[in-house]
Amino acid sequence: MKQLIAITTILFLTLTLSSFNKIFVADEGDAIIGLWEPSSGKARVKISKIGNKYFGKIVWLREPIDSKTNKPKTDKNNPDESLRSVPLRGFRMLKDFVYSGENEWTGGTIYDPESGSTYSSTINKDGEVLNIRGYVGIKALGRTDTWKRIKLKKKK
Amino acid sequence: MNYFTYKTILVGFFLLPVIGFGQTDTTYQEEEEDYSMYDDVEDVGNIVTYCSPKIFDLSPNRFVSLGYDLNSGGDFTSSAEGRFAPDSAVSGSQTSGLVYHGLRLNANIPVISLSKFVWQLGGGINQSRININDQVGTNPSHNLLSDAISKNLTSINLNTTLFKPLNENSFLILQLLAEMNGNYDFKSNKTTPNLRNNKYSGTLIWGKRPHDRLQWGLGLSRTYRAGELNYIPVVMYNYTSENRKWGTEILFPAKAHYRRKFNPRNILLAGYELEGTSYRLYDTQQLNAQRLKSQGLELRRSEIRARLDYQRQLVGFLWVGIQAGVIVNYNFNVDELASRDNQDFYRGFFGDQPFVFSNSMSPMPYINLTLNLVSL
Repeated sequence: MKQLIAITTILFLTLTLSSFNKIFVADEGDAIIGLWEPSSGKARVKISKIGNKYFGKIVWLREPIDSKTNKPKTDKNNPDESLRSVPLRGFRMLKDFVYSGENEWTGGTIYDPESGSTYSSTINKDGEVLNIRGYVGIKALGRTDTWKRIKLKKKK
Repeated sequence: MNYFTYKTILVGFFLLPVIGFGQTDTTYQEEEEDYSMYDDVEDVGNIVTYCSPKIFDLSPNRFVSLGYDLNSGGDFTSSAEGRFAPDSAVSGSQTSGLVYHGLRLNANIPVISLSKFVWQLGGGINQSRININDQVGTNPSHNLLSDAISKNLTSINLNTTLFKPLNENSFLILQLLAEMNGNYDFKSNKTTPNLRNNKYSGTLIWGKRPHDRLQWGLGLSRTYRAGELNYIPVVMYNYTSENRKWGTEILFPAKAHYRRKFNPRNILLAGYELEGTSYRLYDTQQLNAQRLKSQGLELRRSEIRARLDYQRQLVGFLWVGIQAGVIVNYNFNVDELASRDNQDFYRGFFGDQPFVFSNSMSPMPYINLTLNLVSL
């Protein structure tokens, strides 16, 4: 019985310390959570955390209505035909980013609704600015866009 | 405690964090949100927005392109050496069959690619392996020009493109190009290219991008596309129709294409491109080194490629391109530069400086196949 208590105590402590470390690192990673505006100013993207990964969805469009159909814009350039009727507002354009330390989130993808292409992507946070790089194969073959953090107006 | 209980506790403890923290559901759907709450945001100062370098549905930007170019051959008529006014008719002393084919490898890598500034650096090598076959019943002896070019014409280039958006709907584009062209082969001092013979071109365009389907610009270019040095105005007009099924990609007079989009991964271009540059002729065939060197001969080569260009996705960002069309010769004449201190000169459209060889070529059907790593 003493042996069982000793093993349990050691494992419990190990687990607690490892979880503490995870939570600490995860907190740093959570610095990306919030509302961001790409440099084009055409959209706003809300980044949130699901599990241990970060995702960003379009929550606002400067021109939300398709002038041709007079209906909310959909993801009409998606190579998958079955997804072309999905509304752009609410669409998850950043996926699967993992915080890898030193203000960098890696391993994710960014979707460009204007071309229907999905690029490998990394995010670098510099103060209240995100430098988001989408690339093909290697990082050198890509483009970086600068996103600025924005805050919702407080309701009076 | 028996061995089984001990092992179960151990396995349980090790699995606990995996079960608890390891799962990520990427299909997770959040509850419906009231998106109107994102309309009002705090003033975060001036957010400067810039126009994009592209518009909707342009043909893909090629990072790396590997291709092969082949024509089916045509008649090549070459004058004897002499003095020929630029607009004079070619009176041939030699008519031959001429075929050329060759590898084309080009890369264009973004060095800085930010929304407020884009800088791309590129390079490439384009070869023309030329075969000249004498035709029955004509003078079998090649003239100096035919001998000099009857191997390779090679063009190695370095280029850079800068795109600077001025605001949300206007921009500047600067393109610079340095080329080392000739029939060189690096085998001896006599056949190694001299950097002083490099050709330099550049284009500056100021443009507007009123909306996501239109981009136009006006500019000025120093170019060798007509084979010899020229300064010309350029007009850019990239347009995509409202239904996004067709459009234009025009950089006049260098190229103009009508674009038809079957789907985002499948497009057809119809139009033309003016291709050309000036090649220094070295004594690679050990013919008459003194004449070639003392005369400083430059082959002014230019052709109009009227074509259909079909581009489609193979997999991911790897695309294939197939061009088929007709090559119409615009210039294949030769200047001598020795009497001008080996400095290039400007003839333009109205100059009357004579050529030393005056040549013509019949139209030739051609095909070009490329594999391209692209960005959409």
